[in-house]
Amino acid sequence: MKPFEYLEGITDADYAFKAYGKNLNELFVNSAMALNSAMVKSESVGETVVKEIVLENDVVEKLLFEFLEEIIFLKDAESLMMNSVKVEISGTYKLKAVFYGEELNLDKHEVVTDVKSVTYHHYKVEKVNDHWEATFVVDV
Amino acid sequence: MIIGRQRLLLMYKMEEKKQEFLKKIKQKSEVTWEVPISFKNGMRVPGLLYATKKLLDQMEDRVFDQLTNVATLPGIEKYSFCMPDAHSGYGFPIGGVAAFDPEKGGVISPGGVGFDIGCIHPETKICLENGTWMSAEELRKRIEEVKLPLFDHKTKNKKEVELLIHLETKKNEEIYEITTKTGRTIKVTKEHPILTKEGYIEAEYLKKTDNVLVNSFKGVKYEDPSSEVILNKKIIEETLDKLDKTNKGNARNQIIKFLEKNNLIEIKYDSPQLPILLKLMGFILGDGVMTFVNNKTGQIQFYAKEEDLKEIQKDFKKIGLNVQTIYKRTRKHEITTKYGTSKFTFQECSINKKSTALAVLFSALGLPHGRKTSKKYRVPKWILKAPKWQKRLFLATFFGAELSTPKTYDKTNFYDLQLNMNKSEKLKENAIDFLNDIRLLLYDLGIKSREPVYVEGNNYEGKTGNTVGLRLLINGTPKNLIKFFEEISYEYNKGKTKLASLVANYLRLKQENIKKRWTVRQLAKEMHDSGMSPSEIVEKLKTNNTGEHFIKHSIYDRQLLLPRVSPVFQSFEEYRKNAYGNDGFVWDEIKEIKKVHYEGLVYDLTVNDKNQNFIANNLVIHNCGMRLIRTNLTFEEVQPKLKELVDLLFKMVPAGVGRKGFVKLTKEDFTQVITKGVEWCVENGYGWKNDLEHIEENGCIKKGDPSKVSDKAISRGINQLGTLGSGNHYLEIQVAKKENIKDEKLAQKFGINKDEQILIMVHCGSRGFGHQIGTDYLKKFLEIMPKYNIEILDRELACAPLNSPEGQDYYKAMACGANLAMANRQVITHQIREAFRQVFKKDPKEMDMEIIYDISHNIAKLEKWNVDNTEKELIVHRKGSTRCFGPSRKEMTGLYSETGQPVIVGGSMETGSYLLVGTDKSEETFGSTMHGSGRTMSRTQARKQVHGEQLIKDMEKRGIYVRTVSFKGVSEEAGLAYKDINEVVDTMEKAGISKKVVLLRPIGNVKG
Repeated sequence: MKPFEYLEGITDADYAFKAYGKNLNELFVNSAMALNSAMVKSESVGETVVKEIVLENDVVEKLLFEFLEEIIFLKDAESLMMNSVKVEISGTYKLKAVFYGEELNLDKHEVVTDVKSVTYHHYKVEKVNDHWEATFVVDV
Repeated sequence: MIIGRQRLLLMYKMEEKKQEFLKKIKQKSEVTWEVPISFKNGMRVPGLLYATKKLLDQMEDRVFDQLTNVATLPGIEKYSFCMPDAHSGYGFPIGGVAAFDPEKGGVISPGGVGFDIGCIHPETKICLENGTWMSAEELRKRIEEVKLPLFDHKTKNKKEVELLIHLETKKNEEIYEITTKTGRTIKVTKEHPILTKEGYIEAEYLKKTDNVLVNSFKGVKYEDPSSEVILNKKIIEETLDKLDKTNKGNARNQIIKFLEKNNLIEIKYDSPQLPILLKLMGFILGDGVMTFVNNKTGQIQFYAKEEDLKEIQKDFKKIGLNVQTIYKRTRKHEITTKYGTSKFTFQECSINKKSTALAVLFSALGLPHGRKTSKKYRVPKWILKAPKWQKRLFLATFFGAELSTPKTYDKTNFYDLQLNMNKSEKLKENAIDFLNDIRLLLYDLGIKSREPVYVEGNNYEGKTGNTVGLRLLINGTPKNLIKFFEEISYEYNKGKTKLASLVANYLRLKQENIKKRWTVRQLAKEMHDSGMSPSEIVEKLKTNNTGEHFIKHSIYDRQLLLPRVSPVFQSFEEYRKNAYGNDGFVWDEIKEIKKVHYEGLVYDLTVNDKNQNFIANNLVIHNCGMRLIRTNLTFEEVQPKLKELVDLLFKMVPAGVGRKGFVKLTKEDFTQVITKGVEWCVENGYGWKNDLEHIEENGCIKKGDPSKVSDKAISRGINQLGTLGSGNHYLEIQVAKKENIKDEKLAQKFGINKDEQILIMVHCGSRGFGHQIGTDYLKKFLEIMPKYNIEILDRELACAPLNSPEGQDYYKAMACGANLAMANRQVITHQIREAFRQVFKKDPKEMDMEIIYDISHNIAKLEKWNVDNTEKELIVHRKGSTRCFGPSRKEMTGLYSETGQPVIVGGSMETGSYLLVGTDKSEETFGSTMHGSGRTMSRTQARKQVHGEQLIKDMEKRGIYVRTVSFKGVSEEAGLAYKDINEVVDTMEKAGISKKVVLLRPIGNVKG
């Protein structure tokens, strides 16, 4: 199962993604990686800065939205680029994530585009058979 | 990317939808197209598209969908406009313009939708139009076919109400089974919100004593009708013969023409008009009269209460027929029966539909004309063969007129329902036959009734001889009444319908009560048989509903009989007070909440409902805009130093993701920036004083209030002042060649007076700050919209009335966003001036580096406009659209009162951009025109076709020097990803809205 893919036919001016995961944790990680792929090549970013993200929401859709928005926020407020993120979701639903990245360094990071936000356009999170899927469009 | 079968299907459907759309729009002029209000349910104004045929064909169907969605928003004035460069956005199309009157409830929105039913169990019965229901599961299967018969009254064609499933999730968890006191059960996921007295509460938080809102009416299960023909031209001709209608005065032909025009010449069981025709027929047989006056003109009169006549009017409209006004008059009536003569007066309301063709139609369908008491008729045979739900429609309106209102004969028991009829004595057997037809219909729907009988004392001497009275009774047993009220009920009679719902609920409660007592009765007997003493049993089982007396009877009675309802059970009169509103809704207490393990599918349904109100989202959050700065340098002077210049600009104007600006601000500073906009920049050395008059709103929207902006937004914005962003944002060095000057006089006025003069164009907005504001308010609006009764079709269209506290807050926050965007472009301007100073070693003032103009193309503005000869202040939303005021507008001062407002429109980085001016004619579109060329393909598609580095090399060969942060990003911005700017600009010129001044060609570009 691939972690994520770009979707056609949904938007011309922005990026549309579908992310997959065996469980919620995987789904959230892959969604974050999808979002990140629009901003920077993850492998080109180091892991020197570690940040903890803690969020809570009883609707899983809203939780993912907040989580993705948080990554965008870190990019704007602290110029932090992401290498990877580890996610642990418990109960319904408490999220604890560890963000690995570093401050923007144009000499090192292969940047792509500035993402402004996640939108509600075609937004959904659902369990399909034995795995989870998330669809979202980001505004660039 | 391989396109899967599902996606191909989706694209085909999109094309189909678009073709359907194109058929319905009317071309008004060479470049304008009107979308009628009838196109979509709920549209308050028509849509108006500015485009050439070619551009129209290029637009995706979503644009039309979004355009017409906007037209449903409250307070919208004139039209929902669409510019020639339109493409689909979020909620609002990009290239969309709409003005709203705050006094009419006009809204403001950072970003419309269906009526969300939430996650429900597949077996849940969903009530549909026309008194039918279908299980959620069934609905899901037939999502493509479910045609809820709605009529487009203009085209007289079927219009589908879409059912969209958002989520079909496989659950393997606990779901909640909620049972109410009236025995209703619903199975939902824990997040499903249910309406209670305290507002919507998610299922998992409901308690046993909570009251939920229920309505008894369920209707009949939907089945597909056949396409068997009920009526065709031949039958109409035969009817005309029977009615002795000759073609005198072309009467016959006119009748046929009328029926053909209104799609009524052929009626099948699956004709979309049939449900309404059935309703009208049922009612006419009750309180209606159809006559041919002087044997010529047909007319149909409906007598009912005003509120019910209004429903009839609506139904006429649904099948595309005009309906007259409601007449009111006071009638005096005198009737002589066995008991004497009685006189009475009453206020009578009626509708008189004059239409020979319609009367002929109903006649052909089986309705009698003239005085019903002296005509022979039965229930038309074709109705007896119709599917159950169609039978129900006919019966419901007939009963609405003729069946008695439910009445109690004691505290808790109801009379049989009475249907009384009068018939001329000679035709009394026909009347019995007719009533038996009704009985048959009822029987088919599972309702018990008694054999029709003659009624003594209801004979009277009418105008045409003696009549007899007849009566049909529907059994008043609880079980029968419940079924009748829940599945058939009354139509065209709100009073009876409301009562019906209450009675059904009440009877259910009564049955619950009896059931409980029965259980206790049986238990008492068992306990007694097992040896318990009576006093012990009484002790154990005594409740309010099961007193000592009752228990003792249960023990000692030889036969165990089903008990009556408890003597303390509330009377119906008492119960009626639980009614909520006037449509038969009632508060029902939750009896039990069970958590059930469920493994299966649940559905999240969204219905394309009427009365959608929404407002554009994402509209304003970009606060994106453009600025054009001139110089007095020529290409010859700049070209040798172009590379150096662009490289320096690339350094001085940070672009791309995560970049920080050079201006270091404290939170206090930032607050000032978002309040004062460009004024702050000028005060702090980032601009010249006269820059202000060359910017929209003079560089500052006064209403900006930092307290309405979240800390998160501030955190996102504070480091970004003076940055360019990425995507389609850019900084471009441009040249104005003599051959590209379209209006020399105007060009001169704007300071463009040398051949190959160099200018600089900047395209960017308020960056993360504006977006955070949008997201913050989007969330807020989604929560408060129910308070203002706003339903939206798309979450991205969340909004609030401008004249509400939340709307006002958003406006003030949005103003901050706009101020930051203008300030951002100002700081960038400062950097540009400094870069030029460094490279050309001259003072920027010496190089005449004045701002020609600065515009916003994603914003909502409060502007005064003339509507219906009154001056009003409207909130004009321009999404991907530029303001283009003509010289006569009050806001245009100084130079601009001569030239009109300059408009800057960006093309792709390979083709060029335009400087235009607005005209006075632009008041047609509330002073709005396009903003750019619009894309032809997605970013990922562009990336596949264009190699970034190669593109840059090619462009350099062509004389355009590009510096970019991301090669992937630049490939997405290739020329082939954009439409032809010329066509777009020409469209608005042909429409007289904006005029070309000069085409500007790129020679240098900085991208993020």
